[in-house]
Amino acid sequence: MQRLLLGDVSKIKEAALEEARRKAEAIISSARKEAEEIINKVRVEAGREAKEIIAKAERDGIEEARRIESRALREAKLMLSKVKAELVEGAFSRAWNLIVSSLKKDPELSLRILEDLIVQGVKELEEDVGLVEVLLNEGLAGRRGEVKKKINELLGGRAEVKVSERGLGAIIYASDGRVYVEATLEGRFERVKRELRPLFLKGLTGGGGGLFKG
Amino acid sequence: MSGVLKELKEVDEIIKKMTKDAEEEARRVLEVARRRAEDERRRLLEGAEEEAKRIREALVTEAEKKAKEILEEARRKAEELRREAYRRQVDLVKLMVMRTLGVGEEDAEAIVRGRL
Repeated sequence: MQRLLLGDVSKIKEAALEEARRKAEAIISSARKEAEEIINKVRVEAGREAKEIIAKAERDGIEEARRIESRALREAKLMLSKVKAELVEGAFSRAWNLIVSSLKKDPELSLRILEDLIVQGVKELEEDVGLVEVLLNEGLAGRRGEVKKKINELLGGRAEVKVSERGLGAIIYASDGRVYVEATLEGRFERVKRELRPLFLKGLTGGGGGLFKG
Repeated sequence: MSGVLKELKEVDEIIKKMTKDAEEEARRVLEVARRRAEDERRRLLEGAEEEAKRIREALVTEAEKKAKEILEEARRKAEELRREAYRRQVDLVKLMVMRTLGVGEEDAEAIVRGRL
């Protein structure tokens, strides 16, 4: 009877131990599974985060690159615009210097230009002329009296004529003194400059230029 | 009978210890997994940061190279414009003289000739 009981105890003991082993294995197996899930989850999340970091760097890099290139293009355009403006102004300046020096050397030409300027100015005034202030350049400075006489003749003695020495041309006042016209060589030059500027720009710089046009 | 009880008590102790050991091992496994996961996360993100830096630097370097080329091209074009303008300005200056002084082409030519 006691032997039989001991045999039963041994079986119970074995069964209990086996059950405990299974339970222990299950605990560890579950932990391993959970561990694997933790690693996989972090791997997926970190992979996604890494992709976002790289994508953001690409976007930022592209944006920065675009800014760098745009800045360079702006600088290049500005540089060329300045050069074109310099070239146009340089050509105008040469033209003006040539005109001034040729008139200085040729008083007859100066006189002809002066008369032409006054005729144009009187037309432009569209009123009775009261006073003409004649401006003489270096070429005519020594011929004040002669010039005054010629201008008087030109105006038919209908207006007072004064002579001074600065530039070439005249300031023509209406008889009431309130309206006047500046008929100067410099004024005409400026007007012609405005008219010819587009032509100068195109003529001097070719008018083309792809990216740098303008 | 007391021998049986003693034996069963020993078994119970063994079972409790087996369970405790298993739980301990499970905690260790999870702890190791968390550390590994964190290491892997750090490694992946560090790699991504390095790659991101490399990509950005490559794009910026390329853009700076292009920017340099753009400015060099502009300088070259500016020089070319200056050279060409010198040659082209003669006729334009002549036209300016004609229009300002109201003289003909021959007179303007005479004024301009030898002066540019």
